[in-house]
Amino acid sequence: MARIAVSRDLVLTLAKAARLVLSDEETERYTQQLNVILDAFRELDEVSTEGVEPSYHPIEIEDKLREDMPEAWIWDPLANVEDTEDKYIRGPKIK
Amino acid sequence: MSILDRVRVLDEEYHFINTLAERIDVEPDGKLKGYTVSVKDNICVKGMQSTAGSKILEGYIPPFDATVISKCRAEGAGILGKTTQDEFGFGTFNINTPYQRPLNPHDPERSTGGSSGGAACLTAVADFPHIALSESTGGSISCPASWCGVVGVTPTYGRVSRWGLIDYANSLDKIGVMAKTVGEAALLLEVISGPDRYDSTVLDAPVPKYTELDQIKGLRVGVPKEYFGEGVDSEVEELVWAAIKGLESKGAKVSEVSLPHTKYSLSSYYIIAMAEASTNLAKFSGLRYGLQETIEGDFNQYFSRVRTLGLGAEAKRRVMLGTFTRMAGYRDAYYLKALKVRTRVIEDFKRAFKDVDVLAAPAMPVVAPRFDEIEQLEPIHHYMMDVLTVAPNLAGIPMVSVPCGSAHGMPVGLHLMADHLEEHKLLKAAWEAEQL
Amino acid sequence: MKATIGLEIHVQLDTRSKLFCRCSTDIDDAEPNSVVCPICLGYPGSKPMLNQRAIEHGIRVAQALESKVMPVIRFSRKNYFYPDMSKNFQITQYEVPLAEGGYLLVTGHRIGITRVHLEEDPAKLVHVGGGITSARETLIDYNRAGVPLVEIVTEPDIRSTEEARDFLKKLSLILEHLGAYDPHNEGSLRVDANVSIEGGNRVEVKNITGFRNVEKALNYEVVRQTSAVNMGMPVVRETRHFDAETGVTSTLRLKEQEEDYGYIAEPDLTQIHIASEWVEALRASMPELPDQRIQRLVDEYGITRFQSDIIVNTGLRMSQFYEESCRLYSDAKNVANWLVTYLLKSLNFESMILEESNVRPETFTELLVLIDEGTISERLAKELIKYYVKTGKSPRKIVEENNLDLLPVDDLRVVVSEVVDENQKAVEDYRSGKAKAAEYLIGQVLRRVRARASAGVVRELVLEALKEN
Repeated sequence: MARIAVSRDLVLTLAKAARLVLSDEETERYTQQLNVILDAFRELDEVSTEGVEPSYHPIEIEDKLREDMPEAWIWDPLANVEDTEDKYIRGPKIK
Repeated sequence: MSILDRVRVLDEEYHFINTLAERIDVEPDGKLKGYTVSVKDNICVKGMQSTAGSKILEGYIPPFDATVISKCRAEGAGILGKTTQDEFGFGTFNINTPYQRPLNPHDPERSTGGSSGGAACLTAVADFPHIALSESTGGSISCPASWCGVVGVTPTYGRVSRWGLIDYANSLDKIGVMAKTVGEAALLLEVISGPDRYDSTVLDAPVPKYTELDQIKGLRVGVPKEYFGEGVDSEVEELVWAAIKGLESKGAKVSEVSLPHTKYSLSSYYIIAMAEASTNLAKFSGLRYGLQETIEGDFNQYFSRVRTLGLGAEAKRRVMLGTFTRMAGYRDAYYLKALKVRTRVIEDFKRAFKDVDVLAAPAMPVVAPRFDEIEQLEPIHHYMMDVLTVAPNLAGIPMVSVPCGSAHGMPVGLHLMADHLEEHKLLKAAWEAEQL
Repeated sequence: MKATIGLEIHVQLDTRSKLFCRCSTDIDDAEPNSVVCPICLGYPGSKPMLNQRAIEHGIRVAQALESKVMPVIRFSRKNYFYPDMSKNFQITQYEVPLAEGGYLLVTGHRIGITRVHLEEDPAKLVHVGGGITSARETLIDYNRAGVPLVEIVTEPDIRSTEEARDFLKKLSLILEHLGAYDPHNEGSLRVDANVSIEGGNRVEVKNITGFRNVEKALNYEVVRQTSAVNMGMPVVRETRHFDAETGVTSTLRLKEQEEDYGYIAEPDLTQIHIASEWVEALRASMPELPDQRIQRLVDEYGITRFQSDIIVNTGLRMSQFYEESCRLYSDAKNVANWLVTYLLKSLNFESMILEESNVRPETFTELLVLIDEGTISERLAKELIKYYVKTGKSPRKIVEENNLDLLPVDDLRVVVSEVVDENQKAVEDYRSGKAKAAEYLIGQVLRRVRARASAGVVRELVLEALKEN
């Protein structure tokens, strides 16, 4: 992996993608910290992984399937919701 | 004085509880009869606030029990309350949380370790029957267990159901236990292990009687050379070696092994953990449960407002880093690369376990640091503190931290590790180490 | 209209429970947020569990499209924020789909299939106080969240908006034959379309419900893009939304604003090995597909290809109805004639589909029997069928209650005599060679008896009467 210079712009892009609003001071601080951390990650370049399969799990667990049998979950799904209307959950507008 | 009152008194001093049960309900007879069980705050208990150490889940009352809780209740345990932790498991010192910061019982100016600081702290100070339910992603059981001088068991990935565990990283999270003795830890582990129809990543393997503890004749102990030397406190090393020698004197065969990819496990672990965590935390956006605000602005504005308010600095850092490692253009070099390095790390362990039964090393490179020392550290230094625990966690192998003495006046943990699903062997070795 | 079109079709699979949880998929008449559980509501600590039946449906769909089923599959997290997302990521298949390649022949033209994969449906949004871009708030119903979807992606091989419609009709019919989905549920088929015209950029129109709307949306887009090009303006690469009420597409977001989905493997699910035995067993038990059925009806019942085509293409229930009717009534060709020419016409007239009506093979064939018996005339039957389709009432009962059966010949003779007596001028005209006068008399008789006589018999009787006179 090439040396990634984490710019202020990149941090703002990441924050936006993660739906986080950062202050100027935070942006400054995170830019610096992310640079250090991502730089450290570059050491993985030293490892040869030609032809190596990725391990999505550390141990082989396979073929877990479930029968198509409906089962109702008895509960109040709106108990934790603060803003409801006629059993709908109120959410923000699109645009 | 009731147990709950006793807990309140202890908590005044050590700050390990986020939510205390109003009363301890005990169900019928069972293996855990007479025991109280405390629960790390990222494991859901129905009807009891579960915050996972985050403001974004302040006041969140789960409508269901985690599978491990159901199992505990069925065996007669009394659920004591929720122990404090670093937000979502993000931390090594249990300081990354708006809730209680626990104090190390051996020195209140020092950290308990994290992320399961509350669990370790309570386990150390409880003077009533108690076993703690805890959780580890990169070392969150071994670290605080070793720094607080208690036993911490992290089982094989998939040994225990994660249903009801608020996710940090799904391919790395394991629910485990902490106790004063290996025997008690084994007891709780036996209860919580096994298949579950609600978790697809649970192993179907039968659960042996972990509580049957005796000596393994001719135990083969491997000492990974990469876990000693530079970077490890010399007094810590001495104590660990003394413990290893102790096992040898009891008949164990000790040999040196090499886990060549050890140094890369830190980066590999953090990349995978943060990539998964950044997707897990996306669900916290002010709808359906948890922190909710007045619905104003468009959805991007609303989500941003709630998340910015509810997530702590470390959580934000990891979410951004995790987002980066999965981004188009970087995904191959970071996320996929890290997964391949993980394969290499697992291969290292598998190779070693061909010749040995357990591996022995220090759990942490130093003893619990002081809070003022921690303040001087940069985030990268926090991460590097995990250097001895991330590899076995990455590989999903079981591990136990057993107290093996004091250095600089603070507890040191001997870290024993075994191959996948070899908990019975591991616990016997730990039990033996405990007897030394 | 000519255009280069690629489609991404999302079809709700007809399983009993959702894709990753045990909630029922029977949500049509349910109150909002009543068929949900912690999994489909994205509660912290919940984990998905994969529905086996969904994979089976998916494999069958792939087989029907000659798409190659992958031996090992995995699921992925597609990460983006939106109010209809329970977890703000969708569990889908990114790296390894269920199947790759394949094609569908649409009037001889081969439309390539890129991939077939499974994913979960998001929740339903109600936009309050306006449309998607102008509403002041959103109401969310998670009942639909987690319903299994099969996504079928085509190559940009479709060459016109009509071909797109035909493609979707054929696909819909195949899926119906597979039992994979319910075509009568409007929302069960949704399409994202990529459209471009000569000299223009590719535009994506998202989330069009039902294939009738797809043709409308595509036609609107082609016209819009053509005007732009004609006026020398660029066709902007963007994502648009189609409003079914106004028939108009509008900008949803520009391509530059597109999200990076940051895919990772779904770590709460395992990879699934799809054994070739499983695949072969499913292929062997594959229900009859439309093309096969069309041929079989021709071979088995001796009807024309044209008729068979219509019967099968109307829908699964119609071809089943046809065959059930043939079991009750032996003249298969007659059944086909009446079904294709009159039954369908009557249904259309009542704006009904077969499934909505009370038409049944027993009563439909009853109509044919009444004609054969001579109880009613064909002419009456053509009238009666309309009333039958509307009510579903037994034709025999209709005839009885309304005295519609054919009059006996003697009664008819009486009417003929009456008419002849009343119309002496016509009789004289006929005598003087005006053949048309007979037609007039025949018409008068038919009017009087209404449908209770066949034109042929009346003609005979009138001519007979005229001879006598």
